[in-house]
Amino acid sequence: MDENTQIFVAESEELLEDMEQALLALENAPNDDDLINRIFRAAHTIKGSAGLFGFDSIIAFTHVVENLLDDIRNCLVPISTELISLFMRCKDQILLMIEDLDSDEAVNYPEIEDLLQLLKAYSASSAANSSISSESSCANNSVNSNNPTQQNQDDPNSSKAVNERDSYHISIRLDQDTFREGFDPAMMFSQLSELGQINQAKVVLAAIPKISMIDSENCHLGWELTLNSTQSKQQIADVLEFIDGAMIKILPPSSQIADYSQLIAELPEADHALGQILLEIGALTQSELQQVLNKQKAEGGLTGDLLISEGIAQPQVVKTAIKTQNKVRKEKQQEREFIRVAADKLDKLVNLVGELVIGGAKISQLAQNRNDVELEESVEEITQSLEEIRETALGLRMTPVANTFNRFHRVVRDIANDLNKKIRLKIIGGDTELDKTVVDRIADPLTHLIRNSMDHGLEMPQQRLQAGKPEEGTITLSAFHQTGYIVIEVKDDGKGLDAEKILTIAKERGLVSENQKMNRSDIYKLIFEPGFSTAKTVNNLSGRGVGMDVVRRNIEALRGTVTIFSEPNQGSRVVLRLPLTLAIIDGFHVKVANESFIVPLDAMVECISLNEVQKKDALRHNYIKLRDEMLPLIHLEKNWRGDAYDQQQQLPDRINLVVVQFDHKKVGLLVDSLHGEVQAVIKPLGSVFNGLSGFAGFTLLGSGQVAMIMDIAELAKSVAKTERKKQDFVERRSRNRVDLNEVLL
Amino acid sequence: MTALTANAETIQLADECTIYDVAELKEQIQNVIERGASICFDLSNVMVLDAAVVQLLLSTKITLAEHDLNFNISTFSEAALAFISNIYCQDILVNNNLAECEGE
Amino acid sequence: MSDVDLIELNDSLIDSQYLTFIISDEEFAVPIMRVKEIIEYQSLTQVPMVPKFIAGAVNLRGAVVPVINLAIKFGMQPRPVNRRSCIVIMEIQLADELVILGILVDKVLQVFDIPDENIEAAPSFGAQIKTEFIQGMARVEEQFIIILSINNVLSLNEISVLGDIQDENNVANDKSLAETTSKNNEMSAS
Repeated sequence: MDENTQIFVAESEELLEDMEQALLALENAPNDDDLINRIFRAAHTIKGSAGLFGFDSIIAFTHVVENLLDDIRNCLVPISTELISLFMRCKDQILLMIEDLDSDEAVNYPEIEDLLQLLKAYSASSAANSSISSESSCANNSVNSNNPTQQNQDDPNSSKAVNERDSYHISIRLDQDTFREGFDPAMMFSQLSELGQINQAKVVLAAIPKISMIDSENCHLGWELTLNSTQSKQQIADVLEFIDGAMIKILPPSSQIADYSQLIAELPEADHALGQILLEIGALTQSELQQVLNKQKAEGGLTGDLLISEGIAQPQVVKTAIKTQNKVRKEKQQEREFIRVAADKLDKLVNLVGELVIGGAKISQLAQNRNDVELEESVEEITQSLEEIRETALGLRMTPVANTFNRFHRVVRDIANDLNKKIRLKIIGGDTELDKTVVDRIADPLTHLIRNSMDHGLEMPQQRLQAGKPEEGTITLSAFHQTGYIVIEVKDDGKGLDAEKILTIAKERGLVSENQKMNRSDIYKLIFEPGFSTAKTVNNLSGRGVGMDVVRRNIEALRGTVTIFSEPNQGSRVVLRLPLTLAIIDGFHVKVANESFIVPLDAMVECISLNEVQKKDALRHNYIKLRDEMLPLIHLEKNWRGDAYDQQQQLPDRINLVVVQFDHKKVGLLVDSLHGEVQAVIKPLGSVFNGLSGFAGFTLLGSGQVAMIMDIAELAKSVAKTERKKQDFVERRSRNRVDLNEVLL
Repeated sequence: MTALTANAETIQLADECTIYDVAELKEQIQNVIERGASICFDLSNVMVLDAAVVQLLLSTKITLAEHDLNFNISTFSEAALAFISNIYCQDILVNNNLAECEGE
Repeated sequence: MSDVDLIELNDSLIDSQYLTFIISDEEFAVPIMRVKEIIEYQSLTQVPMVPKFIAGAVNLRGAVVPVINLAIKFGMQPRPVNRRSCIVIMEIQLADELVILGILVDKVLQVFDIPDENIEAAPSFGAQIKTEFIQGMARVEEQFIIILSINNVLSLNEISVLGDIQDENNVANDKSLAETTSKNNEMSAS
């Protein structure tokens, strides 16, 4: 897929997302024009962009969807729950087609025919036959039906509009200097003719001054024309682009009346010749225009108001025109607030800023060595700015979780229907921001948690009523920040986890021994164990046979944690704690064998220096006794240097112990020296080191030195594996020594 | 449609008639209008025409209409007709439907 | 035009140019278009639990670049780092991506033209290193220089850290590396 197609896919996905949100909201507020407009605009924009790329099947399908939406917008078809469901299916269909764009084979969509037929059945023409339109909730419509002339005028209007909508409408106003630059407008027309058939072209006389006023070398020419073309809007725009300074407006086929109204507002002649141009572009008939112009002469009123008070232009057309203009303006402002940037550009920026920070640190060091106070101060200022720049750069990757959260409205709606349960999704803190990569990667685990709650947590309506709860169950999805972390909770007010049942299953599966005693919270944790969830507990709704252990693994892969709380009959709450970003890690800088390593700060428990007894223990065994507990050790240097190291028979004096924790297990990490906390920008291992387990990546220290970021859990496993191999390899002396493997694995 | 009211003067354009000639042509037209005469253009000998001249013709037509005077093009050379059609001004200059467009 | 195309294009233009250097007294050549730059030896960050021939990683203007010790890879006796030690930064195609790698050399010699007719096929035996690592033998004045088939030497299969390679290396860690490394560290410290 090329870059432009990718952008199209990404944008369309967003639009469809928005469409779905609006559809869901429409269920509760069927008369909300804004929502209908939002849905319409999404379809309209997708069709327009698809036109740019010539994705014909998408255009064709979306066109039908759009038509029905337009009928709804114009109050010709009333909105209903069935209709909303139909649009949901259409949205899914469009999404499917967009997602299939990168597949080379032609894909068949058996659903399409069905959908098209349904869409057509609902459309205005059939609705009119069954005279549903008079029952429509739209106020404008009922007013109109009282006005017999209106009825008559609607027909020519709409049929004319349909004619117009088959072709592009192009407005061209040449720049004053066009003649002087030797540009020949005939060339423009011949180029346009190559793209399609010019149906109608009218030179705009309103802009041409009288002979006494004209500067005959200035160009005042402009045209309104319609072009029948299969080319994309972009291709047409490209042809017209070479005309310096010209004002060009292109309305694609099936542009709406509102679009024309907007066009009028944007054209220079709009103020004094609205009626004239409405005529020229075919939105008004000659007789209607004549009426208005006569009246305008008599009363001196404004054309727009007149059009409405005379009941000639449909009131909603003018209203939508005005509304659309306001909205378009608003949207333009929002567009200005967001720029789509490729993720790798951001990464590059973050990298460069990282280098800058390192460079700054070097300069700062040099300045200190010189004992030049002024220099030091200047450097200090720069360092502060650099720090701010770095924070800003890292912040660029942050997006609100709402994008992901809002998807679940649909999930909840659909599953609730399937399960015959009544369920409401409440979202709190959707504007909480977190790294885009993290946002993307929590979608699946969250889906699973929510499905789980709906499936196993929330009861059937009847059961709920019997339990004295409201019929409708509530799932609350919330997010908030907590010192460098984001906390996401999935909460339901269902029946809670059944500890006994979990224990029974766990025993069946052999996860716990038959007579093991456990407290409740330990039992709850069992559902995250691999092998707990099997086909029996995962029904078709709970996804692709994925258990809760996968949820835990996904979250841990993001350096996060999962905790579960539950109260019988009150509901359960799953709490995810995630780092705000994957690009940066809070770490502790240690040295082992003269090399620098970063221990992730969240894995650290404490640092201690060893006493003589502990040192001996550390040397002889792979564990020490710490406060009456046995602490297995990771002896990185020994592991790394192998036998050569063993022969030293003595630990260096400077040895320190960093106690780290993973999976609720504590391990001691033997290191040479401690160098304090750092914020490390993570650089991936790269293809050469990709297979290296135990390390999450590289980072560059302030000195420019490369350091490795430890992945404690993996490191422990990898060390244990090496240990075990070593033991297999050489028959070791102490049989009663504690095996690191057993503790760790 | 206004009936022909006054005597008409003929302005003949010939050979290459382009932006280099419009200033002079404009003066000529203005003089005729000041005299209160309708104008009849003769384009039969035109070899080359450009948009600046066509614009001037359009302006003349608008101005004449305002003064209740008549605008007419008696004969076209093939080149002139082609050029006027090429920039979609034939409706106004050839088919003489200005009055309708002006809505008067 | 993508980088790959560029390299292919350059291939045909300057494919007779080679950079020669010394590793453990042996002279080698690599096609010049694979060479991005040559940097002075700087202290490497050693990476634990990787095959011995991965000498470590170096910071090249913000990018972490793995450095390969070909002497170990070829089973030759590595020389201690000296004043003239360099890291030759090369760009090679590993699987789908272009990867920047450094190779440790004792001394860089020169860049010169070796016309195709002066290049003979790799001998099927007799050379110190595996035949598939040799692209050809260049005859330069009465002497043969091994032209390395750099894509084979540095292919992902050969150099990437995959699963268990590290274990064997570490279990049977020999002293020579420890000595080399400690000498290296002394050098870089002084």
